[in-house]
Amino acid sequence: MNRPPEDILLEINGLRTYFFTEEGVVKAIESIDLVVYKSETLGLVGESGSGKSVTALSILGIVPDPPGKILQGEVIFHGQDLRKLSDSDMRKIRGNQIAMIFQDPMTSLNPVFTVGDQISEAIMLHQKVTKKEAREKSIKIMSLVGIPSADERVDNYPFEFSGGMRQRVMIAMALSCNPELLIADEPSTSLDVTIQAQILELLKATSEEFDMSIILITHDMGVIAEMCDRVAVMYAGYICESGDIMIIFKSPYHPYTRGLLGAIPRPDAEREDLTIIRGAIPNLINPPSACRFHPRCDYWMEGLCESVLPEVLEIESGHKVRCHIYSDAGKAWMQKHGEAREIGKIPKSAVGK
Amino acid sequence: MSGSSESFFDKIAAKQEEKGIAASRIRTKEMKEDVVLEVNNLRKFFDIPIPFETTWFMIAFVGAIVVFAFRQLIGLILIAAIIVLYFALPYIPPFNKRPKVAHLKAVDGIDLQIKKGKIVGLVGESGCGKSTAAKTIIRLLEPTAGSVYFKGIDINRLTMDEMKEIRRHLQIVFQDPYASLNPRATAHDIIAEPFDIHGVASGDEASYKVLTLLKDVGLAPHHAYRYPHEFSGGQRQRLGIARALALEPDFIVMDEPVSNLDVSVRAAIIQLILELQNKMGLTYLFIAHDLSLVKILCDEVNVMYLGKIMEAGTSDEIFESMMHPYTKALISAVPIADPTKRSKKIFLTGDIPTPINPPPGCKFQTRCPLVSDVCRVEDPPARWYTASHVAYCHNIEGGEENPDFFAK
Repeated sequence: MNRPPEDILLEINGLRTYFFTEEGVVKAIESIDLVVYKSETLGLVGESGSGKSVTALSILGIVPDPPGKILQGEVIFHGQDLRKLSDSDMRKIRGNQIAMIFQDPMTSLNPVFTVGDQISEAIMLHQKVTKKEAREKSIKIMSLVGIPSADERVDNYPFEFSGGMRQRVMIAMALSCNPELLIADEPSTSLDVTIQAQILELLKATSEEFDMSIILITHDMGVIAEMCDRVAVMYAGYICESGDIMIIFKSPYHPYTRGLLGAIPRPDAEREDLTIIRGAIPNLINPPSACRFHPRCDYWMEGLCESVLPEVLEIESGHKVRCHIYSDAGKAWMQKHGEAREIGKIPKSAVGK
Repeated sequence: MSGSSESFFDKIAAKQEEKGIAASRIRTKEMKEDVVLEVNNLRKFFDIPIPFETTWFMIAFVGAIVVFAFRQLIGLILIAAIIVLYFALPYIPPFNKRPKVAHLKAVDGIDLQIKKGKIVGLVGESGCGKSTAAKTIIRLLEPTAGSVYFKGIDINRLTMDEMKEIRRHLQIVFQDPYASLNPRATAHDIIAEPFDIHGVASGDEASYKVLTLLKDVGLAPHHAYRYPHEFSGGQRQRLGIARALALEPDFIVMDEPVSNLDVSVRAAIIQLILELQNKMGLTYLFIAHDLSLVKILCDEVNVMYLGKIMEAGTSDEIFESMMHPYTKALISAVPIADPTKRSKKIFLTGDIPTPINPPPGCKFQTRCPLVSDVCRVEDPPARWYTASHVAYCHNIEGGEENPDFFAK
């Protein structure tokens, strides 16, 4: 369901990010429109190479440049376009109002400083506090994220923590300035399931406590189903479908979403229920024309999908899909060729009861 | 399948006659018709060297240098004495009794029975020893203790020469296909290498077989002369599977074959694995940490924790009526891809102890919600809930101590 516009925390319009490499221009993000409402968890899901992480980096303006470059689009946060801000203004927002946690905590923590120093650094950068106060605040936030005996562990180095605890440190650091938006890029992918459950629970609890929005980036549909209110499915630089989690999981409209949901083992599924998507993610230096999914799509309308990019259609309030099956051009094609292209039901077992 | 049990019994017997070795060295066992592989109390320990403690020598050495500054002769004697002691001490009692290695108990006594045509799952968190167990079962790693019977022969007692005969029937597919394929060999060479080693085919015949195998795993003939880096992740894994199939094995270990792959590719590889099983009557030991996949794929599931099996049973028994507190926590932690079924999780507290010095008694005691005093002392007993469903825990209700109870 669409919430009123004053509830919008972050809005992305027509974002395009390319990477200019020696092999050619990698068209990582072609055109992305996305809305994040206040205190909601938005899932960003897709296969590797679909542009999920680049979207996150583009929001924060930390796309490695060169080779990356944001070519166009606006990222509106609290009514101001983040792309137009100066570097120093952007630095005030980054880590303060918008924080990010990365997939691999070991590579994003500095190995030669204690975790206390690293959390304090973020606090002292954005708030006028003394070193001692920052340290006390670090201890408080570390115990909040469930690190036992935080007053001792604050002086430990990252290598002295286990993987799950390291991720907790990362979360503590991200939460230290009470951000309004947290971007979590595959926060639990490198962790074991038992630890993953704890980290996800922690994210859920803190988002409620701090009244914080989360953009959760993952390739795991299970994590999305457990955590999110809304979900956006990405494929090769486009968002192909977005909407309420219940709608997307129950009746996906886009063939790719449908394929993704069919390709994972759902509860109550049998071996035979696993369906596959033909082919592989395209090379983004030379991506397929128009709808980038058409070479893998079972519903490909020859002559249309590869020449005309489908517009984003709002099927019902808040449920958007980018596919010709629902567009006027597509309907005209179907009439002309006398072939129906209707999206079937996803396997019975996949639908929640 | 080709290579019936007789033929390779004969081959091994023939080899022994050649060398005049007594057949009694080989341990055999009557096995049920449908059991492909039986693993009894298999252990694999890794030796971790404990370094020699040199702190005191350093202090003494610095002291001796200080003495040397004032009294040269005494200082020199002291320095010499310390150097001599440094090298001699490890040989002088009682210091020579110092343990030189610690054992990392990666696999600490597991039992398995793998039936023909089944997919047996081995699941657990990272570091629980599942991959080591799999490699030890097919003797890629030399076990510390225990036996593995394949077609009635204890393969751990065979010489490497005899082992070669058996290797044809036991194959493995690794998790990372890129790391397990020779980057300098073409797909053709990679798949044809087993033919060469076992003298199965050569020349055109080998090439013909390679092309058939490529087709079987869903690759095209023109892929034969490509190098591993020219393939995508999913294609590489297909290549790894083709290599494993080359010698028409009976039993394949799948060591996390799809963990590194994207969702859509993953489903395709799973379908291939199932297809090949139907076509060739293969038996798989499937190692995975993705429990939702194991649930739909495996006939039987073994749950491992720190080198031990905690619970074993058919897929339904493990996922629907699990008994062990670890299995319960593990399964509840799996995210379910259905937003209408957000479940209540069981959170494990405590850390995973290191397998170098695991606590006595139950391995799960440090994180177990049901832990009691007896868990810290005694190994948990087996409790059988059906003829196939067993859990190892002190504090769970019901069950029988003897599996024969269900045999009647």
